[in-house]
Amino acid sequence: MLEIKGLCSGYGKKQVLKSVSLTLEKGRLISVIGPNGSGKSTLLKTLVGINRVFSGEIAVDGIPLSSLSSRERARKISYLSQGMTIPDMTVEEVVLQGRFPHLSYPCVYTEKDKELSIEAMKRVGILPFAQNRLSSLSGGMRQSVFIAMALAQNTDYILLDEPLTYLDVSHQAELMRLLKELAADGRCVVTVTHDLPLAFNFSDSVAVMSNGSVLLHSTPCDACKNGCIDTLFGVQLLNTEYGYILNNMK
Amino acid sequence: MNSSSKSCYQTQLKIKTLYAVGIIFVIVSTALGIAVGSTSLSLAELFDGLDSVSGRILLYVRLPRSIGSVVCGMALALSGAVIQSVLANKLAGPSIIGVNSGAGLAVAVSAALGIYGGFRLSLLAFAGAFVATMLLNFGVQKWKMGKGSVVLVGVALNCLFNALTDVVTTLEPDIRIITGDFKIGELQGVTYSKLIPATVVAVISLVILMTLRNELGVLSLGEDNARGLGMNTSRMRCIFLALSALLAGSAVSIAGLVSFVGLIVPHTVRRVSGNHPHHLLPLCALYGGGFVCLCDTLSRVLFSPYEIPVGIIMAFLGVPFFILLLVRGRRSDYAGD
Repeated sequence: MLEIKGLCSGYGKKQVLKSVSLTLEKGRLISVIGPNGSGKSTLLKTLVGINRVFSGEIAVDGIPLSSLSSRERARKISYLSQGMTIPDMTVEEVVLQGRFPHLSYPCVYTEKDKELSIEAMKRVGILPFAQNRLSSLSGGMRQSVFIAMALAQNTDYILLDEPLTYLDVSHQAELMRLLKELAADGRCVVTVTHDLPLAFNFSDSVAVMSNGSVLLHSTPCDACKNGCIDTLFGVQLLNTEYGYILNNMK
Repeated sequence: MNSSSKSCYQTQLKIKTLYAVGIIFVIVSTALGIAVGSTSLSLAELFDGLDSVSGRILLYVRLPRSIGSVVCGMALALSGAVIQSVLANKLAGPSIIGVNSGAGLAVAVSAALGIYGGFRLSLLAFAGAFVATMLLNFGVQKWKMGKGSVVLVGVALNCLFNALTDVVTTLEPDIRIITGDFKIGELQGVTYSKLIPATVVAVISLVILMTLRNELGVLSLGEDNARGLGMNTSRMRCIFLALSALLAGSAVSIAGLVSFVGLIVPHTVRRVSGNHPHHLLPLCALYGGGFVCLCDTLSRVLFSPYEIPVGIIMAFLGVPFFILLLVRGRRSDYAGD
C-alpha cells in the first residue's frame, strides 16, 4: 500500500500540492483526473522523488519513502513520464533498461535480466518487434514498449503520466485494458489522464484533483454521483447502460 | 527458428561484423601510417635497425604519429558520442560546442608558461575542456535550455575561447607558430612526451566509460525517466561530461584542434549499430581511431612531398557532413525540446 499523508510539494520553491492525503492499494487501477495545473503530474513526480517533499509523509508498504535510496525506491515504484523521449534504440534495449534499479556498478545486464525483459515483452505482446527500432513503431506500440520497461522493473506500483496522449481511440481502450490486467495481477497501477469516460469505465477508483488538492477518491460510480465533475470540467458525465459517456452539450 | 530469434541472430551477426571490420580498419590504417609517408621507405628498410635513418624515422616519426592519430581519433569520437547522448543533441560535437577550444586555450596558456609536453600539458588541456563543458552544462541545467539553444550557446563559447586564445598569442608572440598549427589540427610534431601522458589519460577514461555504457543508455531516456529508474542524473551527467572533457583534452594535447571527428564518426556508426551506448561507444573508438589515422596518412601523401595538416582534411569532410545533417536530419535531433 502507498500511503500519502498531508503531502505538500512543488517545483523549486513553488508549492503545487497542498496537504494531499491518498491511499493507493495493490490490485487496483486508479485514475487521477483533474483540470490542467491541478497537480496530477506533480503528485506522481513527488512519489518517485523527482520533486521535493516540503512536508508530509509518503510510505510504501509501511516504509517511509524518505528512508529509501533512489535505487531502492525504483525497485518498488516504476514511473513513466508524460511525452517520453523516443531514444533511437531497439525495443529490446529499451525494455532491458527497466532492470537498471536492480543492478549496481558496473551496470551489466545478466541473463536473468534479459529473461525478465523478454517476459515483459511477451506480457504486452511486443516480443515479435524486439529487434525493431523504437522510432519505427506506432505511438500505441511505443507506449506498450515503455509499459514493458516498467514491467521489467518488476515493481508493485506503476505510475503513468498521461499514457493515452497521442493514441487513437482503439489504442487508448487497448492500453486501458492492459493496465486493468496488470492491476488484476496484484499491482497498483496509477494513471493520470484527461479522458474521463476511459478513466471511469476502466478504473477501480478515481482520484479527482483540483488546485493542488485531492477533492475526492472513490469508486467511479460514487465520483459520478458526487457532481464534482460537472463543477470542475463544465461537462456532464452520465452513467448509462453502455458505460460512462460525456454529455458536453450544456 | 522463429522470426524474433532470426532477427536477433541477424542483429548479433551485424554487430560482430562491425567489430571485426573496425579492428581490421584500425590495424590496416596504422600499418599504412607506418609504411607510407613523404620519404619513401621499403619494408626491409623500415626494420633495418634503430641506428639507421629509416629505423629512426620509424621509431621517432611514424610510430608516435600513427599511434597519436589513433588515440586522437578514438578520444574525439568517444567524446562526441558521449556529449551528444548527455546533451541529447546530435550536433553537439566537442569541436562545435567549445570543448576543444576550451582545451586549446589551456594549451596556449601552458605554451606561454613554457609547458610543451608531459602530464602537466594533458592535465591543463583537460582542465580547459572541463571548464568549457561544465559552463555549458551549468547553462543547460540553470536555464532549462532547448536542444537548439545548447548548440548556439556552445558556438558562442567556442568563439569566446578562440578569442581568448588569440589574446594569449598576441601577448606572447613567441608561441604564435605553435598555436597556428595547433588551431588547424596537425600530427606532424607528435613526440613521446606529448603522446604517452595523453594516451594514459585517454585509455583510463575509455576504460571507465566502457563500465558506464548502460548508465549512458538510461540517461538517454530523458531526465524524468532516468530519475524514475533510480539514477542520480545530475551526478551522472557531470561524470560523463568530465570523462568526455578528459578525452577531448587528451586529443587536443596531441594534435591540436582537429575538428568534426566527434561529429562524423558517432553519426556514421549510429546509422549502422544503433544508438545504444553498449555497442556505440566501443565501435566509435575503433572507427574514430582508424579514420583519423587514415586521414593523417592521406594528408602526408596527397601532395607529397608537401604535407597538409590533418585538420584541413577533416574540415573538408566535416563541413558538408554537418550541413547534410542539418538539412536531412530530423528536426527533433537538434532543435526544440
